[in-house]
Amino acid sequence: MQPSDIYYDQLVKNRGRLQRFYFGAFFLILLYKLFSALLISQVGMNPIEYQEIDPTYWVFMITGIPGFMKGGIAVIFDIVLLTSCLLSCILPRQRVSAIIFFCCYFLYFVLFNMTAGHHYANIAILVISFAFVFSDKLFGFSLQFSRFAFLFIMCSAACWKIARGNLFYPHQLDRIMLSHNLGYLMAGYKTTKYQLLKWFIQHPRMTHCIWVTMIIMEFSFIIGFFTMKKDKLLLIIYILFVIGGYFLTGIFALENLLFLFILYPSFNFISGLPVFNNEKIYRLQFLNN
Amino acid sequence: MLLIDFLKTVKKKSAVLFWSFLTIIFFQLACTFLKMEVTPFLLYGMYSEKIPVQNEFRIVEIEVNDVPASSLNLSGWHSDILYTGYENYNNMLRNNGTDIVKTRVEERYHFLTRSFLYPFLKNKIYNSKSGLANFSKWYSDKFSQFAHIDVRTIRVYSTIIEFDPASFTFIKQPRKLIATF
Repeated sequence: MQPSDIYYDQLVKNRGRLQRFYFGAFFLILLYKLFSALLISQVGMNPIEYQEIDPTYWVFMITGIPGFMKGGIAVIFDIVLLTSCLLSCILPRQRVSAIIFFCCYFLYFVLFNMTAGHHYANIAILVISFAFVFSDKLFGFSLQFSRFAFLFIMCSAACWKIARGNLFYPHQLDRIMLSHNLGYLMAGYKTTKYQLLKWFIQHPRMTHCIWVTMIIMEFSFIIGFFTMKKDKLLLIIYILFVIGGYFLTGIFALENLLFLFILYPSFNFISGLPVFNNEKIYRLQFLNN
Repeated sequence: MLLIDFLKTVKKKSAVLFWSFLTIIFFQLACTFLKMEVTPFLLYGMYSEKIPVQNEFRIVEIEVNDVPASSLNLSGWHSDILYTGYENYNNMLRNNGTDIVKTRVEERYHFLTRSFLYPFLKNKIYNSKSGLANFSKWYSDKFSQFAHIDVRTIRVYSTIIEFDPASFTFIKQPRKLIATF
């Protein structure tokens, strides 16, 4: 039996647990957005919509969707987004709410980027929730496909840097560190962070070594296309990559942390949690029906 | 290879799903090679363009009711929305009120501008001057909402920061008022 077949079987058997876990995590992120006033009804649509040269955003402009998203409609939209997410978490044996959530989140993703004035690539919720759109029969494949999508994102990021000659460009990371922390450095707080940033910016060779290491870390995700046996290593690499990226450049995307849970060891961890017991979920479903 | 084995297994179980996956892979690769984003097929080339070594940085400073916006305890997201929002507004303003996307499309994508669809598209996909007119109110409302203050005036300044690598010091040049809301 191939490792992927084992994985596939386990995914199907544990759909309920996985759906609870992932949608629980999505819901926590949405709650964070709610309390940070980042939902569509709270941010409100910017009169200058940032569409860029992206046909999907153009479709939104043509259909006039951003124009509709105000007042009561925006509030209803946010309620549907939150409710469909919560329902998918507490009733994990149905996928209607998961489909509604996927569609709403796609709308949210595009509309938020339009109003925020930048096309953020915080795509983890979209990639993972896509898997739950499918029936039990196909769910194992769709979740595995999401795993491949994550691997592609990481490898692709490395390939872009290599193709543009960035691997051997010694000043990339020190320039990112400088421009991203300009305000902090100008304030001149003599903290450990300040001292570290100063040291790295003044030692571009050392900073270049870290930059090369980060690109290698991204490229190492190519292993995942060949085997799942190294997923534990990839998980550790991703954690180090996120921590390193945050401390060195200040770049952090909360949503994209969810990609940690698309790798095989995380899946084992989720399945092993006693609170996500399939029998209990079935009983809850039965009681609800 | 795991990916190939996976696709073979999918093909055996569901031809529809197999072709759906292949279509997604095709679109993602096509977008990557054509350097074109068609959400959800994104490009992951952030920070891949070489950043030139320069020791001069232009920054934007915003003051609300004569208080620097940086001291208003704005969250990272809110700060990004307000600063990026202003940059996009300013770009359009400096482009004589024309959406910069329109300028770029008309400069580079002649196959699109020559197509019969373009007269329809250009009325729909670009921001109009009314967007500029409505921006002030939205901007004031957002500052008021995000910073929990009553906004009377918003002043935007542009400043050049000179960085001296040898002494690791930053010299701020006199700032210029560039916009008021």
